[in-house]
Amino acid sequence: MISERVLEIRRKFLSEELENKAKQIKGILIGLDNQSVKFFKKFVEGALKGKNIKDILRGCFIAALKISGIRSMGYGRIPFTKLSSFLLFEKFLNKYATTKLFEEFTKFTDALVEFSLFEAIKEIPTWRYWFVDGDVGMLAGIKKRKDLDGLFEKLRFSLICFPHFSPSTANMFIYFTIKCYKLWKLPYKLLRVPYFSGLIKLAQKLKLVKRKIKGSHTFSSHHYIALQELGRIVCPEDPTKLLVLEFVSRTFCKNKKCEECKLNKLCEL
Amino acid sequence: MSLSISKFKVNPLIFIFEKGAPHHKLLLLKSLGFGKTPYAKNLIKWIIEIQNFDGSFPWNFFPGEDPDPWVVIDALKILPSKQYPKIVRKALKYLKNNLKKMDIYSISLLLSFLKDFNKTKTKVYQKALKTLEIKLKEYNKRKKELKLFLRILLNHIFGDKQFRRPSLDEILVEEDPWTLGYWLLTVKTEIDDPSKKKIMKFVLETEKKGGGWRGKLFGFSGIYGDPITTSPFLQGLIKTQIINLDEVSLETEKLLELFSKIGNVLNKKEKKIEQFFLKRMEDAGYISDMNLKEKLMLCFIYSLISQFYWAVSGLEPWEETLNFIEKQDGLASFEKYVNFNDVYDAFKGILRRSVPSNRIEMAARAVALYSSFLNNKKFTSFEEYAENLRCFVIDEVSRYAPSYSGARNVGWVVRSVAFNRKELHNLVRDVYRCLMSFPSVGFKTACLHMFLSSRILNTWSENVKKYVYPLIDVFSAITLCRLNLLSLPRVVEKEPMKGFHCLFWLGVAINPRDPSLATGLWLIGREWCFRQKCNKYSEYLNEKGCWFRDFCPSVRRVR
Repeated sequence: MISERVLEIRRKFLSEELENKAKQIKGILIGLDNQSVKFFKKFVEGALKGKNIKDILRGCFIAALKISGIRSMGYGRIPFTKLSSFLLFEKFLNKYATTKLFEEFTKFTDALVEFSLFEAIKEIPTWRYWFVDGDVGMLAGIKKRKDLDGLFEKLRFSLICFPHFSPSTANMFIYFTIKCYKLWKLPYKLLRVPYFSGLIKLAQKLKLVKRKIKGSHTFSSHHYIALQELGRIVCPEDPTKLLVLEFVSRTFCKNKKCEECKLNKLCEL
Repeated sequence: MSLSISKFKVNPLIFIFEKGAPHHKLLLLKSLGFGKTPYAKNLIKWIIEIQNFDGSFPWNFFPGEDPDPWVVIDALKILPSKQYPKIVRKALKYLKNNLKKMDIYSISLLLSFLKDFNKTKTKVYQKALKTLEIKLKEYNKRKKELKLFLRILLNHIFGDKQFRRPSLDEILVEEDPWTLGYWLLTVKTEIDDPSKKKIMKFVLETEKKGGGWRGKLFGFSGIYGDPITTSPFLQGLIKTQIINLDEVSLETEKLLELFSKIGNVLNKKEKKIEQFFLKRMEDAGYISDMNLKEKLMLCFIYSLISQFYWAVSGLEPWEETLNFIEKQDGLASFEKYVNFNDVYDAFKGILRRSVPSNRIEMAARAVALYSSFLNNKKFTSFEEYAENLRCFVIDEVSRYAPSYSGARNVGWVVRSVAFNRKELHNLVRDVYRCLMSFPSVGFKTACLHMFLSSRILNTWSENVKKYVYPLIDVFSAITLCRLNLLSLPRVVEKEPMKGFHCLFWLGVAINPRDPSLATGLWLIGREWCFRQKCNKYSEYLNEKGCWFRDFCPSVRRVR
């Protein structure tokens, strides 16, 4: 059952022809998904120092921070390993000496929720906390949920308690860990689409969206909900297939290789 | 050559007294020579008592806010070190320990303040100077251009040789009243007439519709100015005599006189105000030998029912509260209140059919949750109550936090618990936030609950009273309007919450140990101002005519 609010957001942001368009591009997205996963995996590989689960988590964390535009937030010259978010995550990884905890998704999520609620939020400056206070409250409300959907929500909300994390960064981290590295075997339909400006530009060119969707600070933002609805309509069994658009944007659009692009017949340009 | 107040859209003094925090008002009063009036003294008393254990002060000196170095620096400007050596020492220690976390602006402001007060040989100054030099090096490395505001401060600290002072034209191009304010405050020579003319033009052009000015650094736009910008800007205009000093002094004197008259009346009528609410509570079923938990439960139900005053079956909230409690067989046993279905039925019995069922559900859920809290947790002092309530809200109530605003309150409670804040003002604010996390409980209901339980039924120790808010709704807002204390009265009449800070700081200025005394304005609004009948006989108060009619500026205009 879709709420009235979500329907209104759909009407505001998404194109009326979306369902037809989605049918046309879905096959292409599925075809390119493996390439896209490999493309994004490379970002983590650059930050990997070992192959155990802690190293992979650390790598995913740094890559998520790198890829979701932290440079544009004015932290220009600070190395990622000196960012308070990374130091906090390092503290979290070290707090649990045994890697067994990380092998089980439920235990990992619960430990991260506890750590985020009472440790990580202390590092968020007051001005920033005004953006995430509601999300922290929501996290407190769902912290006892044990169903798979709830666990995903918990993980998403607990990541936003890290000082430099936005909803997009949180979703990217989950994408890396679950889809790229398959640390836990979980259904992809519960993944959410991270925000990328290239993805939205291409979606506009493909006439999937009516108006520009912007990056958001919170999970309750209209722009965030619109992006997730787009993912859900185009590919309900795995909304992150929409990341193929970002992959296409980075490899073909940026280098103006329209002839090689598989979406060129559908693209406005 | 000076600017008359009559040329402004809104009297800037009214704006500062309405929207400003204590330090904005105090710095302004100090610059006008009113720093030792009872009004100023009361605000200083408040500031002294709200200092955190670590020496910091909450943002805008409002109880329960996050601490901030800027406010600490402003506090140092207000508090003379000879009079308050301990407090100043603690504040300086806090700043010294937090220099690394502070941004370049705060460090420059601190150094500039220490220089003005000849404290250049202190350890804090030396350490701050070193930190500033490191930060400036980083700026140079990044080839980042220094903002004008920073250049003004650096010139003030290091002198003309190291940093050139920006010219007036450069500042005016920036179009930032905040920067211009600091430029005026640090001016060393007299400003010539053509420059004064330019500034005057700028002052009038950039004034906001709702009064005051807005600075670029804060990046906000809106009908109101912001006190952070307006306060230094106005001080600068006063210092350089661009604004007519005689007029400003006269206006300030009038305002202070009005505040003192309001204070005198409310202090005199304190007992009557208390009795009014006590009588209502007795009508609702309060008896003097009730235990702590019963008192809290009664106040909770009463406040919750009060918000449905438009939907109860024609009786007053206290009568409905009594009906409600009787349906649940009194307050002695909480079992009936814990049962959601019983509470739901009782609510349905007293509310009109027009009330949507989800509203009734939320109210019933709130009562069930609160009674479950009272049933399961043990506490004797306010501190224990607050800490238990915080945990209960995080663990239980958060699941039902009805809207995003409810979740936001839970978010702030979580932050408070994470920092383990135990100062009394933080705990009181947390209780407000906890209450607002309950379904169907908004700010007004939370205010009424705390006011009744702490102030009227004296459930907690005297110290808690210091941080209890006065009641705010359309009644208090309308009284503030009649007293001409608001820059945009119509806006506040529609959204009374916008007048809350004005009312709260008025309460602090009247009595810093009991700001909730400003609830008297609510009572006056209810009995006289709302119906615009200044001479009406009030049955509830047994008084003829409004308490303020001798000095209220609107009394003649009322038909």
